[in-house]
Amino acid sequence: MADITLANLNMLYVRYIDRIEREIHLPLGPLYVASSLERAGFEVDFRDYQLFERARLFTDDAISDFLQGPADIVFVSCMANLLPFTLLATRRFKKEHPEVFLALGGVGAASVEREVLERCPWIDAIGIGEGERTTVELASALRQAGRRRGVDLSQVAGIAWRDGDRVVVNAPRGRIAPVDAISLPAYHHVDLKRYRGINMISSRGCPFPCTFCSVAPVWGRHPELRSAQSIVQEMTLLHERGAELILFQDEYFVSSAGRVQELCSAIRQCGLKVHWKAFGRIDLTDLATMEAMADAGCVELRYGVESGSDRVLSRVRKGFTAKQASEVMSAAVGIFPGVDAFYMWGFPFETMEDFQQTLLHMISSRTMGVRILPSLLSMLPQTQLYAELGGDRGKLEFCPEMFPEYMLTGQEVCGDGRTRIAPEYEETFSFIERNPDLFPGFFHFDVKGNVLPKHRLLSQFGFYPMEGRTELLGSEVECCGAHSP
Amino acid sequence: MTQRKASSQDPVTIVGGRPMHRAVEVSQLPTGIEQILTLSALDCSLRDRFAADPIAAAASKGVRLQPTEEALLRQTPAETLRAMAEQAVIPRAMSRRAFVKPVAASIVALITGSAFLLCSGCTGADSWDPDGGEAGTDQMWMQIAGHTCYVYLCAASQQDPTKPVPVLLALHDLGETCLSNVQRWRAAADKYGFNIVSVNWTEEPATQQAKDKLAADLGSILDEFGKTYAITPGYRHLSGRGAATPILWKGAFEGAAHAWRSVVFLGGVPDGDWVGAPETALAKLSSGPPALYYVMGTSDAQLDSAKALTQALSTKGATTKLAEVSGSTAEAVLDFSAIWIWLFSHE
Repeated sequence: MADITLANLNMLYVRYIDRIEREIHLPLGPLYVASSLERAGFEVDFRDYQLFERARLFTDDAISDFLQGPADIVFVSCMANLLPFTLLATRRFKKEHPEVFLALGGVGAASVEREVLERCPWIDAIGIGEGERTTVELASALRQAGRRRGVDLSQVAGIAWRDGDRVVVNAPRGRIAPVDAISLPAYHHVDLKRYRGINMISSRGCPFPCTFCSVAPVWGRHPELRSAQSIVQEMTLLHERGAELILFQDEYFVSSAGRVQELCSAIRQCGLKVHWKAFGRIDLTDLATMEAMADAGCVELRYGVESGSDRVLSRVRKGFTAKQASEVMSAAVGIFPGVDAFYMWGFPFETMEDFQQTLLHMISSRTMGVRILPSLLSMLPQTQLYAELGGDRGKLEFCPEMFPEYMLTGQEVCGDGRTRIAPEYEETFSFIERNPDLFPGFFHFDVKGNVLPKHRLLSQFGFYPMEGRTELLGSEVECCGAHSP
Repeated sequence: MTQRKASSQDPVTIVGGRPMHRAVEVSQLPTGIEQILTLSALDCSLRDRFAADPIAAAASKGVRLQPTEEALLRQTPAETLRAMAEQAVIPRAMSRRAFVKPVAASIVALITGSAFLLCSGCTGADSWDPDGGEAGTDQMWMQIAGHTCYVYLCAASQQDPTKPVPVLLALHDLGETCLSNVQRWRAAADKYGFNIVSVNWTEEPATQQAKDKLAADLGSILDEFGKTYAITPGYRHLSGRGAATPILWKGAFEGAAHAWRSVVFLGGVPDGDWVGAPETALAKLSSGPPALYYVMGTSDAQLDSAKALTQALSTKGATTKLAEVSGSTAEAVLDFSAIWIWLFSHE
């Protein structure tokens, strides 16, 4: 029997009346962890819920079946959208397997680890930050103790854990540096052909202070960069295993023109013929860099533009202006076959005038052929923006028919411009509603005044579906990588 | 305490942030902003008007704006509008598939009158590809001999690019865009089977140097175009309107002889004193000039010049036809099929 069951519960699953849309991505985070555990001598039983087939996927029964025959230690990775479901579903699992040590990882519970442990006594521990070394130390401590209960885990940095009736948050773990020291993901656990999005990262962490960002705080706003040699090595490995298109999903890919050009040069020199996509940053991508990327196989560059209002961009500390964004994207559409622009809307301080500037920016970008990816603001608990809400957190409103796109749980049914919650899933949404401090990303600021009027305009201009408008389905949904686990 | 919103008040689905790969009829969306922005991007002479008064600029081009669009444009500063028009690069690509991807293509299609679909929600880079075929493959942008051109292909060229067909290279007037040439000529192109290459010569302010270069490049443009889409030998035609007429004159009638079969001037007049000193104006005439079909309105101030030019050209052995139309050339409703028949056969 394996030493550890490592389960990926990160997934994007959108249910419509007549169909289901999924983006099945390589579960990169758990694969990195699996690799470290195996290098430390642990046998890992790797499971990916994205590939688990069930008519009703989001039930306790399904999770019980998925985790059937677990190892003594079970690590589950999830993101914020599936955190409520994961917590509820593992309750039943733990009841059936009380002897198992159950720990959560991933960014789902970031910054609310103590609260989750206090309210979910079936969870034994939660990892904080990078998991590669933490999981190895945690598993080693449990193995050394020879038991799963009553083990002193106070020396394992980077976890919150249950010590009897007490919840203890240990000292944080330092970042792994250099990041090249981390072994490549345990690709031998997956069949690449089953995944539509083949992800990679060229860096970990981002130094920019954008107040809405839920990723940079997890890494302490400190970036660690991989070497060009290491990146090309992994790209080659993936290509040899059949990958034709690689999605770089790290936010800090374009950390500097010099580094990107060095990477592009290395790709060209090794003759690697693979297409790839990456995130750009408006103020870090110059023409020469973009041309080098295109020459090295980059077919799509994605920008977090966020807003067309300079006032909002300044308020969220984005670091560039709307005009700069237009200029850079204008250049990018002449270079790359695909250019994406992510926009956020629904900021608490975003006036209708601000929003109209954003809408016009979106329309202008769309005219150039930029693919527009709008997102309703989701205030996750680790964000500066959420912290800034302060006493206004009490004004957050819960409207289960209207979740930000990053917070879809797969338990909603979308259709005819409406979202409905099936009665069998009511418990999940009731759980969310009762715990706004754990799951603030599901809540909105001023639905009537801030969200609905803006959503109506976005729908009118075709950026969201609209009731009564004929819509047709295309052949396939292309993975955009924005939801990669 | 948080508040729960009643579900039935205004139920909506917010599912974005990812490509939804849905398409809607363009006519179901307000696209006036995209249209006027596209036109302003293509025509520098429209940008000032767009920046100063976008509503009036749209109206002058027959672009309908919905009230919401008017409100959006009204509250946008002039400098922002100008920057938008200057930065709006209308996607160009040799690839037809790439061309039909962006929404801008839909807007182009609206302007040129063909039906397109566009993706809703997250639109743009994913192509809408009904039945696995290529949608709207008869129009595209091409970079040819250093010039941005909008190309319309007839059915024969679409089916077999190696099959030679005649070609019409067209230049629009100031205040128009290269799309207007496709509007003018596409019915005739469909009927008689020729390709249209419309040069986007007003995207940037056209200096005299740029005009001279374009005049010199006219032959090269079709030489390069012919490498991809075969041209029937001896059947290269030119069309110019208003301010483009002097460019065509210089490119087709002066200097080295080109293999142009015929030229049509839709108003405008080449540089020179055609009434007072036609011989001087014809001093640089090349040998074997192409046939000229000259359209001029009876109320146009340049009618006398047009008459004098055609007469002078005739005396040099060129085939000419002056078609006087009632009123001004700009407002005349022209029969482009009839013009094409003359250009093709000189009859």
